[in-house]
Amino acid sequence: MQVKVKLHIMHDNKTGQEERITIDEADSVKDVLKHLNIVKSNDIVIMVNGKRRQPDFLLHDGDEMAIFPMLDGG
Amino acid sequence: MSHITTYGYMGKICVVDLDSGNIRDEVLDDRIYREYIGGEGLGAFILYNRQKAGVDALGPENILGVFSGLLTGCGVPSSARTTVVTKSPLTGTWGDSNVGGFFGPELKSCGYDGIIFTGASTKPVYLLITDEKTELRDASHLWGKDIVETTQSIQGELGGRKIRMASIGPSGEVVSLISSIIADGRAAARSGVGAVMGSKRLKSIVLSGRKKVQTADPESIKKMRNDFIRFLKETDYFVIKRMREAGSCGLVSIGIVTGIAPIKNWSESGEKEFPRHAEHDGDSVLRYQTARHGCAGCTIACGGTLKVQDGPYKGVETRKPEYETLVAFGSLCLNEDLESIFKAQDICDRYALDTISAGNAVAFAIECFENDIITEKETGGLRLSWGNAPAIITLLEQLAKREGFGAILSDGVKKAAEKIGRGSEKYAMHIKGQELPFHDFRYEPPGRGVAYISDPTPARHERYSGMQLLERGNAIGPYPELQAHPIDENDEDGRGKAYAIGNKYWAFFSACGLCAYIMGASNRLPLVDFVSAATGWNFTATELLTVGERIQTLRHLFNLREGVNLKDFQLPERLKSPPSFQGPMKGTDFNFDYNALTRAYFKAMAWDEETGQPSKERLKELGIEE
Repeated sequence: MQVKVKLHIMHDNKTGQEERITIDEADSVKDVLKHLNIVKSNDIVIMVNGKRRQPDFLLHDGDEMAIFPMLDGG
Repeated sequence: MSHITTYGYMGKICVVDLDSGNIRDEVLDDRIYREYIGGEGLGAFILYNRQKAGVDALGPENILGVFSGLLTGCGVPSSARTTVVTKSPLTGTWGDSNVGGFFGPELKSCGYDGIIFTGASTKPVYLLITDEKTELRDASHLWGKDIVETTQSIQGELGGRKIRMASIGPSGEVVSLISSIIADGRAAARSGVGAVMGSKRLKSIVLSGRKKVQTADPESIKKMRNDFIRFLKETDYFVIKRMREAGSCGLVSIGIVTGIAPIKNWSESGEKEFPRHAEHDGDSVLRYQTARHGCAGCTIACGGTLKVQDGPYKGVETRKPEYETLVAFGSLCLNEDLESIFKAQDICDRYALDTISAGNAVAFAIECFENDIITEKETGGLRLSWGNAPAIITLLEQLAKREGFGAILSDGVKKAAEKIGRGSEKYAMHIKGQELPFHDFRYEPPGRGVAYISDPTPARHERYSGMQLLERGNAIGPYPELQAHPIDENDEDGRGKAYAIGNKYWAFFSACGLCAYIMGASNRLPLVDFVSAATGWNFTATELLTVGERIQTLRHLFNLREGVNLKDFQLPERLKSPPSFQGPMKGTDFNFDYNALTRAYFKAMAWDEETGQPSKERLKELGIEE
């Protein structure tokens, strides 16, 4: 299965970069996070095809996923 | 009582009776500092002990206090926040508001940790404190002047002397309940504090001092400061990095895309509804920036000045808007014209208005107009359609001056809806009278919604700052007592406990004068050690939490004594359920019982879950007498 992931958080010195990643054995948001080595999901916002989703959301081939930081303060 | 040298704090406050014009110094016992620290803590102690319950918030009996933080002026990074305290005329509850800049450090340079004002002057006055004298001066010639004119005029009167000042503008003079106090170009904006200052006919507080704060262990402070600043400069932590690069204006796009920033008076969300959000985000705003500013002792330097070179708002020179202001007059009003938001900022800062409340008020009026609750007949021909920038600016000017149709909005959306009637209340986005800040809690873990309805000052986003760290599984500080514990999704008691610790920490942090923008780095902030090094106390994290609890409990007791019904702290109907519109949250299952979580938080604070009454045993342990 192929999903497109856009990172808006600082992660492995990459930010705001679009990465096309292929995951064969995985089918949920959680698996993508694991693949990206993102261990904590409670201070990020996960969106799939423009909708807010939780880590257990099931992905489909061609889905577009984006990861944002949770905002503080203001 | 004679006073020996104190470390960290100055040991006295200035008490100004505006009825008689009498001014005196008052030495506070060292014990009070250790138990209440400074800022909102000292403010809560003084108001709770000296003010009768049930006074008119706009009457002479309401005390207005201004307090610097305990660590302000001690060489601790980002510690320049000043807190204004009073009974809020906007909500009828405990009121406080917080501002950065240079006023707090200057207050300590004048030898004071705070100033309290009682009574009301018969004619406009300003307070001048220098090393040589403290006096009330006539301000009749300043009444009606905006903040820029007032600042120039007072600076002219005092020659080339370096001064720092906090003033009200014309909106405070006409006692607008959403008016602010502007200190060195930044605003203590919430709780209607400008209206209280206006009701006392106090135009400005002007400071010029040369005293130094003594600390017990300056070498340790220096070392810890350098380590912490290095971390702030090197961290990849997004919010701090963005604050350094752009200021909070750099959070607008993320706010819109993720749904946190409200659109069209909280009726929509997501980038489909506001596709040109990048034009309101950091880089677009920075193109106008002419100078960058930081508060005293801050390396993040999130502030700035900007200028509009062309177009209908040519010549507008104002401060760089914060995230809140960009949303207030941008997406909330469906207004794409960035330069008109700069103009709105300029109006709010000159007249001294809260941008959060004013933006909500304008968006409320537009929605009423779009739904035919008000028409051009009432608005005097103003076509209040979504995104009509010239109409937004005209309406805001009227609101600021309490003139024309805009006057109906000058006391906030709750009062406006009461006057307009005809079902307009459903568009009034407030909690107990205070307009909501622009963080839609339905898009986050539930703590922010709980903070909005459980804090003694309702609808305040920064009161979630401590809670959010624990709720998101992050340690709050480098001490065992401040580590995060996993919270099961359905464990209300677990959340309540985390909220209690988070709030105790935040109350303490705020009383120290620290800025919310470093909260994301608080796990690297040796706060307990900074307090020990500044004061010479042998402080601990346990004591920190006890002091924070004492401050938070006293703010809460103020409300109970006022007879405030905690059941009135309710989220607006529009926000009580998950969003029904086609935004980023459509199809997700975030749905929390905010009232049940508030009860869990009360329980963790040893407050009765229904009445909010703190237990007698706990009050005794905290040393609070009712």
